[in-house]
Amino acid sequence: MSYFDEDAREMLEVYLLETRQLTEQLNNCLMEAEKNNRFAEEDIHGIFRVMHTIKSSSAMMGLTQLSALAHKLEDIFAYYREEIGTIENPEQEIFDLMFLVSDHITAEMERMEAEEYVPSDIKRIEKQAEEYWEQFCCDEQKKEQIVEPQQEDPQKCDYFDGKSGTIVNVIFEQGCRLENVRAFMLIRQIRGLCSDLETYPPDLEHSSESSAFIGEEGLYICFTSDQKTEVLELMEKGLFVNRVILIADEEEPEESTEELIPQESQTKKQQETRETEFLDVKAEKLDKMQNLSCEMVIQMLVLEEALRKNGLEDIREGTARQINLLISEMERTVMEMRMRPVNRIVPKLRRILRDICRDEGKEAELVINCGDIEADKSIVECCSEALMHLIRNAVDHGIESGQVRQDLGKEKKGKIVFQVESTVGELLLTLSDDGCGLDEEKILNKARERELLVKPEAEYTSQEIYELILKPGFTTNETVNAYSGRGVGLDVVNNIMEEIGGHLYIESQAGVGSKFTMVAPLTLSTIESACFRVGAYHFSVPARYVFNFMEYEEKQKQIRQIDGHSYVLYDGKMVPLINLRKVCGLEEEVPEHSIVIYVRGTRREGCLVADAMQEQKRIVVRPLPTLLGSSFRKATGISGCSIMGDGNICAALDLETVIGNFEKEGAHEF
Amino acid sequence: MNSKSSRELLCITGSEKNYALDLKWIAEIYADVHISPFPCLPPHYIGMYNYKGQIIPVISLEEADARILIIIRCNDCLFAMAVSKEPFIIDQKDVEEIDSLHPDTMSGLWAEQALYQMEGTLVSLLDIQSSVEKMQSMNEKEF
Repeated sequence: MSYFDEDAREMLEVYLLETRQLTEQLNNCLMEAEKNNRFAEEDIHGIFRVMHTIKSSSAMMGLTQLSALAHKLEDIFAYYREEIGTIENPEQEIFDLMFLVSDHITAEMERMEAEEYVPSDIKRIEKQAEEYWEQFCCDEQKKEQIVEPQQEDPQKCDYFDGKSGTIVNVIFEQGCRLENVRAFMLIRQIRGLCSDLETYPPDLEHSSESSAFIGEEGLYICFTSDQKTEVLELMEKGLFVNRVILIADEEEPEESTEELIPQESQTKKQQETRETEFLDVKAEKLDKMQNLSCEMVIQMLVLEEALRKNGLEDIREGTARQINLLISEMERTVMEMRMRPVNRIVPKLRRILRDICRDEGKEAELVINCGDIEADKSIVECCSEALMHLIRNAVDHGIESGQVRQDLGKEKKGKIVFQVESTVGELLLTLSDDGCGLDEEKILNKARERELLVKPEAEYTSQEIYELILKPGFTTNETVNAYSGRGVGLDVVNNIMEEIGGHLYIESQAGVGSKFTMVAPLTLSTIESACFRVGAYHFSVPARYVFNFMEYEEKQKQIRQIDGHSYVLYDGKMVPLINLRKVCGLEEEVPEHSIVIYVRGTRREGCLVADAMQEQKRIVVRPLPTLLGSSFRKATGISGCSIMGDGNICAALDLETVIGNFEKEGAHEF
Repeated sequence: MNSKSSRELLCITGSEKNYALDLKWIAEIYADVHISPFPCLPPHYIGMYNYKGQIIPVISLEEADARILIIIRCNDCLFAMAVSKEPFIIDQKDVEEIDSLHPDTMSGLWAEQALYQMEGTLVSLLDIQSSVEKMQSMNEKEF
């Protein structure tokens, strides 16, 4: 049975959205105050308002413990607001307490949507808040003074067209937000006691425009009831209700010389315009839209193929082409809707850095360089998770303690730089630190211990040694702490990158620092791809990586074997030549009119030998079936699959892996 | 021991022996479908199939030309089992379970849950859950 009753459950989504925004606001405020070692007046006001709102909305949801906790913190900041104004050199305890509360609220919100949700025990936090209050705040409990807005003269109400009944104007507390929702809840409470009830604005539940009106003018209610006193009392006691102004009472005919519906004021128009510019949309609806647009792209491919096969070129070039253009436009729009700025993950990174530095007694600053770059919502979320692990590693394994750094002639405070760039279709996120760098010898020793080495140690390149730390469970830490040491973090990062079709690169210099670069696609929907055939198999490669097509016959004389690998001359240099027939296990001669495709990825370049080019199209690349396992991609270089217009299934090649495997194993040779 | 349960099973006639599947694993059955070749698949995987927009691997039950696909859903795994002859439904009441001390693993891919006798022939009830776990484990080792 759900913790929330039916009414509260309907409000849960809105409550979670609002509370998430508030806790984000709270975190940002605390981080800034801690950095400045000062709570400015606006910080105190801001935190007070956040706690006040969380108190009220949690009470409305039946979350009494959370509401009581927020109330306690509201009292603390009400005291600061009334008595002190600004706080210079605040005690560390207040930050610890507030971050603890913020984390608790965040954790609770993550659990709230589950059917079996039960609020967790907060006695420890309550005790801490109480102790803080006793120790640092005035003994005498201060009640919060809500500044009453100026009393307005009750206005004649023209909204109900001369209707008889009792007319009231309900004014809600300033800044209570979601005024239309508060009004809706109030009406639900009193409706049962009224034989007739009308409101202005009329649409409270679905119209967000009502919110602005109610915030400015209040909610007008015209009702008829045998229990008028009880109705008025309920209104007075309503959540967030500041006051109730009685405008007209029973059977008073309205003088109707004036306009019955008020003209829209300039302010109201502006507010309406502003509110129509933005809309809250559930993320899963965007996901659904993306899936539908991908399905439409696939079906369009099938339709085009069918039209071509049946010789219906007129329709294919005419109507079908128009539909294709519209679908492309729609797909682009859906993609844009899902784009989010990468810098949204920065507050979380700052917070993690703050916590881990504090716990490990180290100092480090986070330098951000990400501009306004945007990527698909899923990509940003995945990269956010990966970056959290990387930043933990950077502090735990990389950044030395202050004393050690000074002894080494470095700045006492470590530096971690987070940089974001984007190229055509790709996102590059780099996290670098000026710590101690990776110890290659230590890594090799550990790898030897765990029997992970597959060739003589002397043959390992630096990059190959660094890649050993990505193995599950690999760690050079002797002890485990709260942040690392289990060998899980980098394995998680690597898996995330594989899941989204990205790559992780590591650079390091002992004593100087390390740099982790994640390369991820900007979007997971459709990819403009070059499709080609090898025997009965179909392959695709992102078109942005394809630079040239050549006849195999022309290049035959430019192929050389070097150290057991095949290379071909291209643009004045020898590049890897990969025979895809061998990759597929087709032990056949290269057909006469085969083609050579020059490709260049993020870090590697090479030439692929294929039977024939098919087409360049925007296709939907889907993940590989889970049954093939997580290692299939790394072993084969095939990262996904697509449905083509002719019904065939095409294997999406991951160039970095294909060329990387070639360089490692030299398996693909003539 | 005779099972008195009225559970229905999908029976598949193989070249040398017969097989059965619990209906709870089966999503759909298709005939004469196009199985798309796909490179680098593990042994016994004969291609990929477009099942309602999802691309799923096709695994042969026996090494024979197979054009009938039985779509199987097990936990979060969806795949197709390719068979050569049309399957049919049998009632578990109509078969007699045989005590089998050594379950037959049939080419190492399919696990057996039980062995039945039906009209003088043996019918091997496949353990789909164990088979899927086995396939995943084999693929991890293979790659």
